[in-house]
Amino acid sequence: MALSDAREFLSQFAPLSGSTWDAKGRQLDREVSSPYGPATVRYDDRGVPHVSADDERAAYYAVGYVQASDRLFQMDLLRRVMRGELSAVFGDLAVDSDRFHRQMDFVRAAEVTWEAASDGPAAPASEAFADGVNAYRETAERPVEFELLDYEADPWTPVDSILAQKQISWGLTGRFVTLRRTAVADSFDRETANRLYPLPDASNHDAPILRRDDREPNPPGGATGSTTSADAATAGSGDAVDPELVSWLEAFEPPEGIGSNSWVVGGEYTASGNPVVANDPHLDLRVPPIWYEQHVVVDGERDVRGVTFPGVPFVVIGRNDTGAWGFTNTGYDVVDFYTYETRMDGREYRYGDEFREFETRTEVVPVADGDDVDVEVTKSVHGAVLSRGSDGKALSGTTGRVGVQWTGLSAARTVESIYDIGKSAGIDDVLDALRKFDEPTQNFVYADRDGRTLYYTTGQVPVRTTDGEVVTGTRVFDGSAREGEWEGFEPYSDVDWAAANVVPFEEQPHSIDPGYLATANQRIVDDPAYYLSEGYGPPFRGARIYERLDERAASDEPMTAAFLRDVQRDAVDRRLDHLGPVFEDARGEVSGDARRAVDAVLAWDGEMAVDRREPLVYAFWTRKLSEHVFERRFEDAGLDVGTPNDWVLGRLPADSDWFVPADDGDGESDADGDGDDPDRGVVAANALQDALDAIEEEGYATYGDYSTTALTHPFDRGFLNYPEYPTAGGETTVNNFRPESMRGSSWRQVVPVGDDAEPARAVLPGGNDGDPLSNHYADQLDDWAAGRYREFGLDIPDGVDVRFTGGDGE
Amino acid sequence: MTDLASELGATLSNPRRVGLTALAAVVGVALASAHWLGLVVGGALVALPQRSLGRGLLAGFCFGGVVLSVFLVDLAAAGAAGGFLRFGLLRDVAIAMSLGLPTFGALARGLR
Repeated sequence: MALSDAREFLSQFAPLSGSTWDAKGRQLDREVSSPYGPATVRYDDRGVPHVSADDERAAYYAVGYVQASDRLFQMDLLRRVMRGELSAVFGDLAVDSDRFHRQMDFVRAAEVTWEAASDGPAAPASEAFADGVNAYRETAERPVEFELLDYEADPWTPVDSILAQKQISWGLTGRFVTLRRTAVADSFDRETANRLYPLPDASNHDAPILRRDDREPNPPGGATGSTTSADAATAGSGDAVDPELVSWLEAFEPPEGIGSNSWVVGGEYTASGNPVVANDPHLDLRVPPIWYEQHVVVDGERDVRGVTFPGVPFVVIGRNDTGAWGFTNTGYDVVDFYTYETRMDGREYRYGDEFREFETRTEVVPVADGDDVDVEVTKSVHGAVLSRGSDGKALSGTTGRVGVQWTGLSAARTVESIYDIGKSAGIDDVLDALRKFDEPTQNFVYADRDGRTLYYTTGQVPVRTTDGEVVTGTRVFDGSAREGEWEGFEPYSDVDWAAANVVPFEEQPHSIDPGYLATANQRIVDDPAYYLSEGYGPPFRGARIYERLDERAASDEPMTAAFLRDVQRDAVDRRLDHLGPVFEDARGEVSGDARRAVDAVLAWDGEMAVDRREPLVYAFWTRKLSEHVFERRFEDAGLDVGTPNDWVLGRLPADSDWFVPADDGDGESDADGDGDDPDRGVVAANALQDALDAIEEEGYATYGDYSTTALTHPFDRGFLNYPEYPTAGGETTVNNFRPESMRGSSWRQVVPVGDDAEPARAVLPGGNDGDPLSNHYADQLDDWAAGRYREFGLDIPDGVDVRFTGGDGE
Repeated sequence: MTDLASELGATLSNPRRVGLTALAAVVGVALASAHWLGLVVGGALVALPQRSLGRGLLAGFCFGGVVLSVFLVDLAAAGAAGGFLRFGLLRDVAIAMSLGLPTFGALARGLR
């Protein structure tokens, strides 16, 4: 440690004077002046702020203040990601991220969103929230992360709140599957690409969200632009895709398989006769959690409790005094890609009959402890133009560059929508609010006190046309030939969604008053009237939830809240049934311990329990199997892109070429000596041996040794990371946890609506306060890991912790 | 232990020395609250009135104990004692700094 490092360490951590220990300085004052009038904040025993005020702006000023006190660094970090300003604090390791986010120009998209919303109903509360954040930022001690990095947060603005919402929208819908499929088609062939990344297909599985036999599934017929045949998937004139570009871009898209669960159960199936809403979104498990919980009461206007993303003023998932709701990702396709014919050394591109100049500017990215980096921000008529470098070279197909169009690049009314949902008084209000939920595309479930239930998919889905003909968004379009046009859509501007060519709200898949309905990112409906998705998530979780709900509905027992919490904790992996035949093939190829491991897995019930060894072997085996089947071959082809999921793997024919074993030198698997005979058993056995070796190397005995809450803070320092608890569940179970990537149930709620006898319950994977010295830094983590919940009601605790005073409310 | 007790007893038997040591401790805590060097300086200040280097080192160590106590009380008052206990290695290092830096500062008694 250099002397300067030692000094810095001492100034941060020395007892009494160390900036890390200034918990008192970071405590909220008992009385805070507010320009918007009085409000009170009461923290409950889980560190959840309960904010009360007569005036809405007074309440949201207080919300901004408490969010900043608990999560200011996280808010600033998200903002820096989206603004492309990470390198200024973290140095050159963040330059790639900054380059991507600046090229997408999310900031401009957020600015136009705010410009369009600034005279809307949610604007006063959003502005008051920003003022509250700044009041804390200006008066209180810096949170510990700012001390460690020694920088100050810039003033917070309503645009930053929009950026926080854009960040999650991109994280849920910014998918590059079109590019991935195209890159695979280039490296192998079109048929292979379509097999590995299949388009939605009703014959694929029989557990869609809207099932044929359910009451009133409403994917209405009518006008159709459905062209979902696999043949169309990679047909077209788009040029070859640079696989390196795809590989680079994949770092900035949601990871494959990220998803969520939700379900709504009508009163006819519950003991109380009241409906129940359950939701657990599966996102990054971070320190502090990705969600922030708050309860806001504005006298006579709203009484809403739930979770939001730090920096967003309004509850996103939760409940109010009249209903409860939740979201999961739909997997809709709201992103398209374009190539262009160019001239003038790449400065101009053809668009129909004319040449246009790319809109280009150079931005300077400051880099901490390094040289500034220039990033060229380029736009076409479609949206952002992405590239790895900024050398200004002429475009040549997509080699190195690709145009991106995304619904979120325009003004979206999502924040206004969630503002309205929070103060809704029933299903009619909610339906009105959902019309403004422009992004991201989500499965929305809801129930109200009157016993009404609802499922609706939200978000604008463009209807693409080429020469007036409707086309799917499954390939890279020739932008110069005006393929794949989104009529009425203009990136980085306000959009009249009513006039744009999008799937009409009434035609979005939905169900009014369903008996019970479950969503888990699986296919939504068998026969959509419109092209909606380029590929849904695997059906494992959705099938399991429906299995549990169907079984209960067919029994004499009602669906109590306790039963539905049990479903949320269900750790049985239905993927085992799907991959079972592959595992069985391995049995004849192994002996000794490996044979015993195969037999144990095949006899096992599929429950990913912490005290069992079978799930440990199974988890490693499935991962290694994918490596042996796909990753190895992709590497051989020079492809570093996301590989297909296990649903696809399990559907490969046993004699598929993908089951050609790696050359192990013994020649046993190669009947004709040409080295390319498929042998699924050998591949599965090789994967098993790798899995057993890896388990031994790590020293794991049971699944709980591997599946632990090793959640890390962005700084990854021991005192900031969470303690490790073993936890059940796997990547394809309802109780969702991915130890490898630390993703899973980022919030669990089960809310009986209008039923005082059965309290609502919820839990966060961590704690609500981001201060590592706080008692609420990780106080829910052990409950979360063990599958326990705590109350999630609308009662306000006694005693006032912070009183906001002053102001005239004008 | 007997040695330690007798050293402490000898120190406490002189009211003037006790007064100076107490004053030095108060000043030392104040300095340590402002800057980490205060831990070293505080250790030196409480050591200087002592009759020998050994007694000075003991006084420095005891001053470290006072610092640690004030530190923990301060954290507890801010509701952060539980959080501190979760800090693992950093907690242990902070405790070691509380006791070690003043003891190091007490070596100044050897220069008198």
